[in-house]
Amino acid sequence: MPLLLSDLRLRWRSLLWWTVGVVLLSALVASFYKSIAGETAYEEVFSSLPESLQGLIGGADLGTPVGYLSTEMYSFFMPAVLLVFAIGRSTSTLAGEEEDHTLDLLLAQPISRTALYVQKVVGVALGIAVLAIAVAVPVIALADWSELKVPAANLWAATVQLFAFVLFLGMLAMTVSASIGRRAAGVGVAAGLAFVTYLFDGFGKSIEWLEPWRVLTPWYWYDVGEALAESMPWTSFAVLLGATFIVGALGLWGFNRRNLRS
Amino acid sequence: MSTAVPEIVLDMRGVTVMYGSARGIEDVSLSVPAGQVTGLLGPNGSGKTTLLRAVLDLVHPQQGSIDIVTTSSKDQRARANVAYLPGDLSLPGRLTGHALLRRFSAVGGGLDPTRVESLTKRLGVDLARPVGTLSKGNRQKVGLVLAFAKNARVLLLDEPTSGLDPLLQREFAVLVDEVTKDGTAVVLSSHLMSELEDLADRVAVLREGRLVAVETSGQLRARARQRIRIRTIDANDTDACCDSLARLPGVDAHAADAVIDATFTGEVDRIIKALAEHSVQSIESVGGELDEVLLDFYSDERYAPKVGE
Repeated sequence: MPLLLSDLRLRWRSLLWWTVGVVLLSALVASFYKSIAGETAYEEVFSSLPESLQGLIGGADLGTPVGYLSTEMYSFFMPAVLLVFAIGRSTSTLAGEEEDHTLDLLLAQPISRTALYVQKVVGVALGIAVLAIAVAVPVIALADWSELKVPAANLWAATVQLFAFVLFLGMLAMTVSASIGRRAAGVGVAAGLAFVTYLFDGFGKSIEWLEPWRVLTPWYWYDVGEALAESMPWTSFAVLLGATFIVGALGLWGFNRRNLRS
Repeated sequence: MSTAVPEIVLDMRGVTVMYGSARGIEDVSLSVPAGQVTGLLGPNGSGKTTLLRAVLDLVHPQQGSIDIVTTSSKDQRARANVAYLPGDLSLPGRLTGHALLRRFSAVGGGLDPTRVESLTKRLGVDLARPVGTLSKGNRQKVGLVLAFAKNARVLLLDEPTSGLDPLLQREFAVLVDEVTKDGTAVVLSSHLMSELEDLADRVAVLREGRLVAVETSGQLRARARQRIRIRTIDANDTDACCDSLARLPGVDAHAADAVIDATFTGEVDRIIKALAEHSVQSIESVGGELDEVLLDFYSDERYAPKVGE
């Protein structure tokens, strides 16, 4: 994977800054827990909210480590941060280089488009993996002090789910942008879908007629609550990974068949 | 001179590339022999770049086939034998020349380090600076290093001398000469005949995506209209002299005072012979308008794309 190494050499600095940022954010959110641990007032406020809003906001038990991590970190905040990275990187790497006219010379070398595509996907996946781990590490490191304690197995399960979820939407961004050759198209579709399906899934928790359709949203399969509270949701993980493969294969097909822009 | 027929290292047969509504190339067949320079001549939008990008499989032909040495262009291994200099060269600006060379070597670009060193020296490129900080001309030099250091069998150069100063244009001509002597086939595109005239052994003329002629530079030159200005010693002889020139086929001649302006195609020989009967003070060449050849190809209906194809 020589191109992957070359790409990593090109982009490691930016990934380093992202990692530093995510570590700091995670440490900040984790350290707030100390001041609200065991507090039940939040739960009372939460239960007084309309049911549809409860579904949208997430878990109720902010006073427990699992509830806090799930609500404040894993259910929306960190996925959103990582999605910004994943969608940006996915769309800049193929469509972006095409729009910058630098892809021509690269593909004039004896490398197939498939090999190029796969190496770009692996590069994005590596970046997402690094950031997903960067979310978990401060939580573990500060656990004794912050009292935000969950079993390591659950935290890693949440990490894996976060990775798979962000990778799916990143892959979607890559597929759309690489099939069209336009960065903006991938950003728009992936970010738009992430936002719309978030609302859909949130309201689906309390609106009866929406409930059966929740299975169509990636947020439903993200299932980080299960990962933190009980055990690794393997089925959900498999669904996310399977969907990523299908979307990725479509993107490869779309990228291979196209005439590249000059 | 070797009498052996040179090996065909790039063979295009009936290649058609269409992009939606935009014109690409249509039914282009072109054989490029080793050790020669093949010029691609045509105005902007005539399909020169599309033709080169089809060889690299950056655009996929709907019809026809392209072989590089013995490998189909659809196989990425074919591109091990091709080096390319894009017309509108863009390089990742943050990379230094060195990093860029490493990157292309990594994906099988196969750059020869000793070639890189000698080319860098000859062209005077600074490979230590990020290419984004270089001037357009210096970026073009980095592109030339990338293309010429690959030791490829086929060298595709899309408008290579744009942005180069005259001194470097001469150095470029020397480089082309060297690699063709080593058996490399060079394909050179330009919209100016004057750029191809001295370099190209053969020139392929493109009009609206179709190949309308493949001729040697000499043949094209013979088609070119030349202009000469003749002064007669005896002003009374001017009209008679002009008449005898104008009677020759393919010659236009106009007289004013003691000066005759004549344009003609082909060899100057018959002009000289006609002038021998008159008292000529001087003959001055006002320049062969070789680019008018191109205009002829473009205005002549014989070369127009057939309707309904």
